[in-house]
Amino acid sequence: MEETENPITYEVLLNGERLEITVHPDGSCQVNESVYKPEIETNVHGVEVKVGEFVFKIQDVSGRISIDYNEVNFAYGPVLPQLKRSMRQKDQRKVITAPIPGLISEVPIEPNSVVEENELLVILEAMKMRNEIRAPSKSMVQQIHVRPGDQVDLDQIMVVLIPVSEGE
Amino acid sequence: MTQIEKVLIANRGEIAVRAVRTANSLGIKTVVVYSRDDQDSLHVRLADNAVYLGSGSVLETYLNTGKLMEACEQTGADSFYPGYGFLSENPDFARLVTKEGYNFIGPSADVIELMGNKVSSRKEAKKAGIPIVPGSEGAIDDVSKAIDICERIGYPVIVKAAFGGGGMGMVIVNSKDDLEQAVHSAQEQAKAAFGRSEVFVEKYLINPKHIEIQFFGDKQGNVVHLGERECSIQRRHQKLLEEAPSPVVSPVRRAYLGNLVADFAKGAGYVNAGTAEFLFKDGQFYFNEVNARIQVEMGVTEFVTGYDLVVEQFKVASGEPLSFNQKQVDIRGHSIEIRITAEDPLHDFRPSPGQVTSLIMPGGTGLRLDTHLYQGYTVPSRYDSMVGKLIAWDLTRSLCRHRLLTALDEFKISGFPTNMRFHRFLLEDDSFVSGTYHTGTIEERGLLEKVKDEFYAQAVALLAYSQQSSQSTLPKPPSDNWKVQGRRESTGWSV
Repeated sequence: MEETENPITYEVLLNGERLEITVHPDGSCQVNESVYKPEIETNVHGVEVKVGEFVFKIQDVSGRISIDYNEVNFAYGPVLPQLKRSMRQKDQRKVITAPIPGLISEVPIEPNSVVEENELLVILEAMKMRNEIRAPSKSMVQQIHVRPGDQVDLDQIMVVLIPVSEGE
Repeated sequence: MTQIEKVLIANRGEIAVRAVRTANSLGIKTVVVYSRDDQDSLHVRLADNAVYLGSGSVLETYLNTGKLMEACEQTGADSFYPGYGFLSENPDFARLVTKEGYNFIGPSADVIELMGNKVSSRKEAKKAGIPIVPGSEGAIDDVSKAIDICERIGYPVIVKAAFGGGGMGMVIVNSKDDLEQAVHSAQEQAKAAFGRSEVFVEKYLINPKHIEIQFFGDKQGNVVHLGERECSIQRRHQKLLEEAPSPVVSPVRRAYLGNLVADFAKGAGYVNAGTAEFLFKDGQFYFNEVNARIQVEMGVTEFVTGYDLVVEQFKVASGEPLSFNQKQVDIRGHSIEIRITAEDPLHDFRPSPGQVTSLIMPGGTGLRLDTHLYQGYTVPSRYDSMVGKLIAWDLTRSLCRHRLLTALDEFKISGFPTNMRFHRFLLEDDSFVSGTYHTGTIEERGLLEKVKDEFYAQAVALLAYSQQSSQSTLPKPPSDNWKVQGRRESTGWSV
C-alpha cells in the first residue's frame, strides 16, 4: 500500500455494500473497529493479497474484477472531510427504505410522533420471515409512506425520520 | 394395488423438481402447479403438464385446495404428491383428496392428525416408551395450572403452539412473572399462524442437539427405521446443515432409539415416510415431534442407505411393500447436506432474493446438488429462501467434510448474496469438526462475525490491489451517488 503522511479515508463499494476504509501511513487499513494490513504478492498465477489470516486471489480481466474467482462489483473513492461534513448538514433527514422486496404487515407508528432509538417502525415480511425495521436513533417521524398490506420493492421509501439530538 | 399413472405435484422449488425427476424415472406422468411468481420456475419446464394457479398469496395459489382439486380433474391425475411444507401435513386436505378418489402420497389423514397435534403425539410417544421432554402433556387451558407445572419442572420453559411448527407461536419464559403474558402471546401467534390457539408448555433445554430418526411404513404393516440425522445447526428454528449419521450416536443407541420409533409408528398404523424429532442434551434423548411427511434433508439418508425415499413413497402409496426390511438397512459412510439460501449472512441472514446472473455448479463422485436454479432465473421474494441443497457423501465424516468444502469452493452463484460464505466458516469451525456443535453454535462461535471479518478483509485487499495497480482498469464509481467528478478535480484522484 502507498505510503502516506496522513490517514486517508476511502469510500468503498463492494457488491452493493458501502464501507469506509481508513488507510494509515504505515499501510494498515481500518474498517469500523477492525484493522487489517494487506500484503500484495504478484506471481505467475496472478495477484495474491494476504490480509491477516486470509489470502485472496485477485484477477482483473478488462475491468472485470474477481476475488477467489467470484466476480465482484467494486469501486472506491476518497472521502474528503469537509465534503463529508457539509453533506451531513445539508440533509438531516433519515430516509428508511425497504432492504428487501416484501409485504408490509405492521406499521406501529404515527406521523409526527417521536420514536426512541431501536424502536420498531415497520414489519416487512419476505420469504416467510418477519423483518423488523427499527429506528437508527431517537427521531421524529416526519412521513410514513407505507400501510399494512402494501407490497414494497427493494429500496422503496417507507418512512422518513428527522433525528432528534438528546440536547434539544 | 392402485397403480399411479399420473401424479399432481402440489409444490414448488427444488422438491417439485425432485418429485418430477423421480416420477419420470418410474414412468409416471407429471402435472405441476405454479403461481404467477413461479411461471419461469424449473419445475414448470420439466413436467409433462403445468397448471396455472393465478397470482396472489399462497392461500390463493399453493394452498388453494379448490384450485388443486380442479387441476387434478382437468388433467386426469390420479394422485397427489405434497412434498414438504404447504399442504403436506394438512389432515383435512389429505381427507378431501382421498374422499374424492385420489391417492394421497403420504400418511393417512388420521395419522397426520394424530402426529400433527404435538400434544397427542407426545402422549402416544410416551405410551410407546419414548422419552419426552417434561411438560404439561396437554394443552393449557388454565394459567394457574401452567404455573404449577413450571414450578415442578423448573425454568426456563417454552410455550409452544400445539398445531404448528417452524418456530411460529413459540415463547421462551425465564420466570413465573412472565408466564401468563407468554401463554397469551403464544396463543395469539398460534391462532394467527395456524388457526388454532391451543398451546402447551415444556422444559426449555438450553443449546441441545437436534437429532431425528427417519422411518418408513408400508400398507403391509412393515415399519423400518433408516437411522438418524443430526440437524442442530439452525437459525430462527430453520435448519441450515444436516448430517447422517450423527457424530454422537453409536450403532447401539441408533438401533435402540430407531426400534422404539418404528414400534411407535407401527402402533399408530403409520404408512409412508415420517421423521421423529428428538432433542439431545447431556446424553439424553427427548422426543419433540413427528413430521408426517418427507423432509428437506432426506438426501443425507438416501446417501448413507442407498435408497431413494421418494421412490419408496410412490411404491408404498400404490400398495407395494417397501424395497427393504430392517436387516437390509445398512448405514454406510457419511453424508452432509448444506442448505443454500438467498439470505445475506453479512446482515444476519436477511432475505436477498434476486436474479441469477451466472451459475457454476460443482460436481463429481459422492456429490449431489438439488436445486431449481438456472442462469437467468429470478428467485421470487414471496416464498422460502432456500434455493438448493448441496449434499456430499464419503467413507468417513472427515473425507465427507473435505469433499463438501471443495464443492463449496467450486459453486458460484452470482446475482444475489447467498449463505455460502457462512457455510464455509461453519464447516471449518472446531465445533463442527469435533461434532460437539449444538443449536446455539452459530451465536456461540461468532460465525456471522467471521463472515463479516472476511468481507472487510476482501474490501481491504481490493482497495490495496487497485491502489497499487498502475494500469488499473477498475470500473468507475457511479457518479450520481458518488459525486466523483467534483472530488476527482479537487484531489487529482483517478480510477
